[in-house]
Amino acid sequence: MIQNIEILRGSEKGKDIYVIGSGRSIDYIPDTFWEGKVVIGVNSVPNRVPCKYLISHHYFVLQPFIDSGKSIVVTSHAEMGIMDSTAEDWVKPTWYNEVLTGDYYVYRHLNQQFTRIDLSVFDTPGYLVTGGSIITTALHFAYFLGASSILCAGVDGGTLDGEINYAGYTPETPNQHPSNVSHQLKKMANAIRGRGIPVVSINPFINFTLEIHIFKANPDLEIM
Amino acid sequence: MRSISELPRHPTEIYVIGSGRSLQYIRKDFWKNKITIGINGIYKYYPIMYGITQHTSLIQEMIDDGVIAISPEFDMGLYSRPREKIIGEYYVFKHFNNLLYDFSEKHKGYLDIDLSDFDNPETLVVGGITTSAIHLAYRMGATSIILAGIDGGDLDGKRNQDGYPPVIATAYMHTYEMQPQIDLICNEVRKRGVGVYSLNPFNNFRLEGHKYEPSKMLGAKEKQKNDSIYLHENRYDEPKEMFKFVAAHAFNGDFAGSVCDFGCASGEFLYYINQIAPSATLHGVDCSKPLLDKAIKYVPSAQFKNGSVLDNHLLPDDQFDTTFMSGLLCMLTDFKTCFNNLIKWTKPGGSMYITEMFNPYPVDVLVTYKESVDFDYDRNWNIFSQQTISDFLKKNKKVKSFAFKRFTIPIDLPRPDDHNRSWTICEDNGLRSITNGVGVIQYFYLLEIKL
Repeated sequence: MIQNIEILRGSEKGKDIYVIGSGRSIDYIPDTFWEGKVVIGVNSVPNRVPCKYLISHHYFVLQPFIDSGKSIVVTSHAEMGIMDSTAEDWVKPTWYNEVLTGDYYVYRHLNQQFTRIDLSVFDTPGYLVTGGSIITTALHFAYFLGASSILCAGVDGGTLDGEINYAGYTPETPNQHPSNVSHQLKKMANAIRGRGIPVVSINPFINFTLEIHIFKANPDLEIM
Repeated sequence: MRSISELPRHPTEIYVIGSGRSLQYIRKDFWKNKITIGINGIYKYYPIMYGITQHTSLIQEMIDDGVIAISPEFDMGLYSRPREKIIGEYYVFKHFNNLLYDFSEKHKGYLDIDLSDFDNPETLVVGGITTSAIHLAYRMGATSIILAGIDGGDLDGKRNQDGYPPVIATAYMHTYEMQPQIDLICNEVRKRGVGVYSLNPFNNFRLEGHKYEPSKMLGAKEKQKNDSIYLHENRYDEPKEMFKFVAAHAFNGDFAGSVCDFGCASGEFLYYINQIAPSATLHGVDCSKPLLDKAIKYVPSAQFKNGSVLDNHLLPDDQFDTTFMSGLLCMLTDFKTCFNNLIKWTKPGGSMYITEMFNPYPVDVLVTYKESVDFDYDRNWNIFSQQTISDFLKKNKKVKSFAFKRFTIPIDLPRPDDHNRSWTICEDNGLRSITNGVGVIQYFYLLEIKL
């Protein structure tokens, strides 16, 4: 059954919520760390880390997770967030009934523009903000659920020891995200912080020296 | 006064909070409902649950402010300083004598920590108080320990959050020296299955545009300082001019023999050899495990050994066709053991290449030095004369010939911010010489020894 994401609003109120990306640093955090935590994984991350919630705008990755029931699946009104004339009315979607079966939640959104985010729908019921990376939307979703703090992990923004993803990760798309994602993330994080909710991240190493590891930031494109 | 063994256990995440600049960027709301151990005066800024300090005055303040205070049995952890009377309840831990704060001639600059009593429920490891705080978190049953404000360096040029005062007026700040202790205690905790992480106030390693500068390890031993430099340097694909000079003498194209780099550090030279002589069998020796861990990552085809060139039993005799050692001899006073071992470990018919400062004048210069903020003159910058080395080598029957070849750097090295790094100066004859913050002109030579 397809349900409006609005049903979930505030359902994790007052809890720390972890937003997990597919960055390499995840490999340095043992699975036991996640036990008992409210975790939102993006895309295929629930294959690596046990996640209470899965959020993705790639429909093709979702069906196995819906079928397994291990994660609560949340997806976009339009695949990849790209709206077309037939997808304007989320109540009567024509596409995902055919593609996805089972129980999942759908959020509305503006037409997704990968090089910028539009925060104008931040507080609009049923909507999540979209941008160049699903992580942006996941952060908003964590806020939407009522997080007291949001902690990112595996949202590395670059390579660690030359590797961009956790071992065994299969990219959803062959192309890298637009590289101004970091600015979009910062914009979203600041929007949440401005509403009183801390947004931080978990570094699996002792401090910013990263012990023996080498971090290299993804190159920046134009800041939007 | 109660024992720390009576403290409640918290089988959950425990946050250990220092005074590093990164705290400035974490909202106070974050700490609500979390188990927190605050170090020294940080409790005045954040709503922490437990406070740990070695300073008597702070214990009293913590108690008066309603914080559960934890402290070593002796003031500053020093057996020579019995605790003054404290009014109110607090928790104490037993400990070894904390020589970090013994400023006598014998112990000043002491940085070691003793982990041998790690599992005694009434004791904590002492050194810098952060070390004890991390141990305390483990002792209280933490499933994970998350460090916050323990930055190991400066953020945007600042060490502490705004307004944070030094706890005590000491003649020096030792914050940066504590990192090796923190690494040791964290690894000890990790060995026992408890993860140690850090809280990053930003959304990822990019730090949202803030500038992080790791500490220069002021006051740490020379090797630790060099470790820090090489651990955080990444010049694998930008080989030093010295590497090119040495390799040009050692190899004529590819080389199929066995090669060992003594004092290989993070393996940058081996990485370079691997490019120009891919058939060579590579080996590296260094006494720093963290550096070797990094070297393994970058030169996975090489075999590495953790040990000292002064250890006679480190390797079997006649192991390598070609051996290298660069920039290590100056740190040693006992050059004879070093040379004897290298000659012993190199095969008859093999070659040795030692790159070092060798004084062209018949004077052996034994230099010890320290940073101005340190106490101990315990680092060497020794320059043995070519005459002394030659006389020594002539007595070794395994040595067939040897020659000193002057290395003159073909490029200018600008003066860096870090005075531990080298820069070039121009001599009257137009050649470039090298110097650094020690203030000694460095005449670099490649000593080629044929066996």
